[in-house]
Amino acid sequence: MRKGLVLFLIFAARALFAQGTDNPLILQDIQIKLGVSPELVFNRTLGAKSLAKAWVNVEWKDTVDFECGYGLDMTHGFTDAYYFGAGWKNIFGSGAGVTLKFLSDPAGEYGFAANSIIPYAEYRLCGFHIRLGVNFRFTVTGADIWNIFAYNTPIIEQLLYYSAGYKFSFFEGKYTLDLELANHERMFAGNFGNYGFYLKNAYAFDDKWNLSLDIGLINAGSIALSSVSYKLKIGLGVELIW
Amino acid sequence: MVKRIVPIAIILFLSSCALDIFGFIATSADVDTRFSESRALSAIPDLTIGTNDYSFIVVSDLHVYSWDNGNFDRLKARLTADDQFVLACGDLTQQGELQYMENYRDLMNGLGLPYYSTPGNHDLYFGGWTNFRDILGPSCYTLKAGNIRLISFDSASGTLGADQRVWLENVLRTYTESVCVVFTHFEFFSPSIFETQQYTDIEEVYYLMDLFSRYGVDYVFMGHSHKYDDRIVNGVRYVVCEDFKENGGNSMVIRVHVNGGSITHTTFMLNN
Repeated sequence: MRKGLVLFLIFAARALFAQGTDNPLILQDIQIKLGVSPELVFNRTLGAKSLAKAWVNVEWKDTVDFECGYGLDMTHGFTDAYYFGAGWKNIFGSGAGVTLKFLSDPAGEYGFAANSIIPYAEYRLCGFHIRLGVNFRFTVTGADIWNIFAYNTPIIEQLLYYSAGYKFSFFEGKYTLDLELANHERMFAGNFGNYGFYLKNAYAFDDKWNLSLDIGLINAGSIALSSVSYKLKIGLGVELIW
Repeated sequence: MVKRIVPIAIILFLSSCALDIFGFIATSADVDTRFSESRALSAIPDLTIGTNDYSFIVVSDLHVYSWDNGNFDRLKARLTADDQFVLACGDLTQQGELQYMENYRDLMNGLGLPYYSTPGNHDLYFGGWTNFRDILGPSCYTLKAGNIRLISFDSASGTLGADQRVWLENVLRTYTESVCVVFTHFEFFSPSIFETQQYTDIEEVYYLMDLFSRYGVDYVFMGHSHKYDDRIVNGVRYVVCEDFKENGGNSMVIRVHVNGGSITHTTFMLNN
């Protein structure tokens, strides 16, 4: 497992730096996206809460990207999540990509946080996508809940990180509808049985900005048989592009 | 040959009386329904134990079918005079059907000790909740057993639900005994990447762990993963029981020792 992680890091590092030595970075090849999104969550056990999320994505030549984001739980006044990650997308035009992500999901009101290191691979082809990875999750408590380097913790878990979906495209690509089954979102990585069905709508007004509406119905319990609907999420977003 | 067998098998399967199409998609009695029906049932009476030094047994994931493979007899042979009652942490039956639930009840009665059960996901399959409720009683309850407070909460769908959350908070806020033991089915932590299911939402797990820590719970016994796990987080001991495997193999039994206000546990395998 460790060897695999080291190889992945070398691979990702090469994606970030090695290409630059052959072809020096040219600023016009860089695309910057800034997104903001208010979100409502209806949780059958813990009640409703509202969130405000923002993220920045910097992408070079549609290949190498860096992304970070922050979410605020406006109902309880705590940080909901923050993350940063780097990836190499569409490697040699194959549709495959790899990403390494750090995600912290603090629950300040309960004094715990889930710090996750998530290497994952993704493959996109003709509107389909499949994403598989491992969520190395470290539960931290007490003073460590803001410590992103605390890995000697009483609860260390390895969880499958997965999604699969298809993106429909209408009006020459201006409107897209992404149907997805996943156990994670941009600022959340759940347990295996914590999967959701997502409808992700996006409308691009022009190449400078787009609007999105995401709806997620998240499940609880074992796969099928004893499961119940657990959580409904609705998010409205705006993304600006330079 | 295969081409003939597969359609016949599908026809037989679809024409089976026990088939519950909806049961393949979700449980027909969700956690809020189970909670409200449990509250409408009679409370489980307290258990009087004449001493503060005794032991009790914890088993999980028994997966009882309609027959008996002898594991209950092997367990009975290992019981001691100190053992006062048995806790079963869910997946009592393979799929919740009436004959399986009745067999579970009869096998547990055969141990000759009071027993307390909490449902697992398998006990809900194919309308199993009705059988659990009618034969075993409520899915969430609390009682005083000797000098300890016992609490069963229903996690068979991987979540508490809002009503059960309020009830659990109230029970934990008001108990007065010096030792508190909680037992439920879904484990809170994933023992490995190959474990596909555990208590569903990490935020809800953190809520529960904070609650247990704040109100001084001593032990939380869980099952589901069939793998033993034991850890202490913020002063609370979380133990996942390995399966009892009514249908054979090595079966784990946990013996919990109560000595006045202190509580510890040991484990043993039935077939060793």
